[in-house]
Amino acid sequence: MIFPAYTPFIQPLPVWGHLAQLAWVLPICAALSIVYKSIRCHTMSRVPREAAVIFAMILGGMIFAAAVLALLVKLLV
Amino acid sequence: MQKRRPFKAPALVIAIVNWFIPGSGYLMLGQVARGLTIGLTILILFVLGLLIGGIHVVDPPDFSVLHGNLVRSILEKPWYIGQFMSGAIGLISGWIGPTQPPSHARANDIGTLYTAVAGMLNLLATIDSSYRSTLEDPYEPSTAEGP
Repeated sequence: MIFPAYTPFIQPLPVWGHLAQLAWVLPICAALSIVYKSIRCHTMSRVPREAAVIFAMILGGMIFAAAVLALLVKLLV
Repeated sequence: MQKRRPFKAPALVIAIVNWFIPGSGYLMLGQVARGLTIGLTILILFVLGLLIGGIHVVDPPDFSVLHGNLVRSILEKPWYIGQFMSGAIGLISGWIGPTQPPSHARANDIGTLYTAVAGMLNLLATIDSSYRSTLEDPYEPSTAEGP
């Protein structure tokens, strides 16, 4: 069987596996934090620090939610 | 010392320009750092979405088969509302996307999410930049502060 060569932007990125796909949460969280804090902050010099804080908060919140849901599934199933 | 606004433009013009090219509304207000940061971040997020899922993740409604109901056609592909908000890059991708091979599975979901979130962030920036254009002094006061 012959597979066509991967063409960037035309074919989906050949990334498989749960961990690799989970890693895609990082860029979207980072972008969200940067844009949100760039809009909210009075001065741009405060953006890197505040964006880093909110980035950590989003990730922490998602990890906590995942842990709670995993525990709930384990208890119920 | 205050920076000078390059030129004054109505809020509607700032909104349209910022929608079309993310971050450009802030550039028109003289807020270069804010405009470049927001614009580049939105564009990178959108391009990353296209890279992950392929350009077909941007899939606009087919208006040639409207059956007389515009709203229904749009609601059949609600993600395009977000993608449309990212401006020129969303329009161009929506024009090219449907002619390319379809994306699939998780990569399609992630790519769609990235592109739609980029558009929604651009909507936030559009509202903010047009609001700032109505203010007497839309500039950041950091120029008066120390390092």
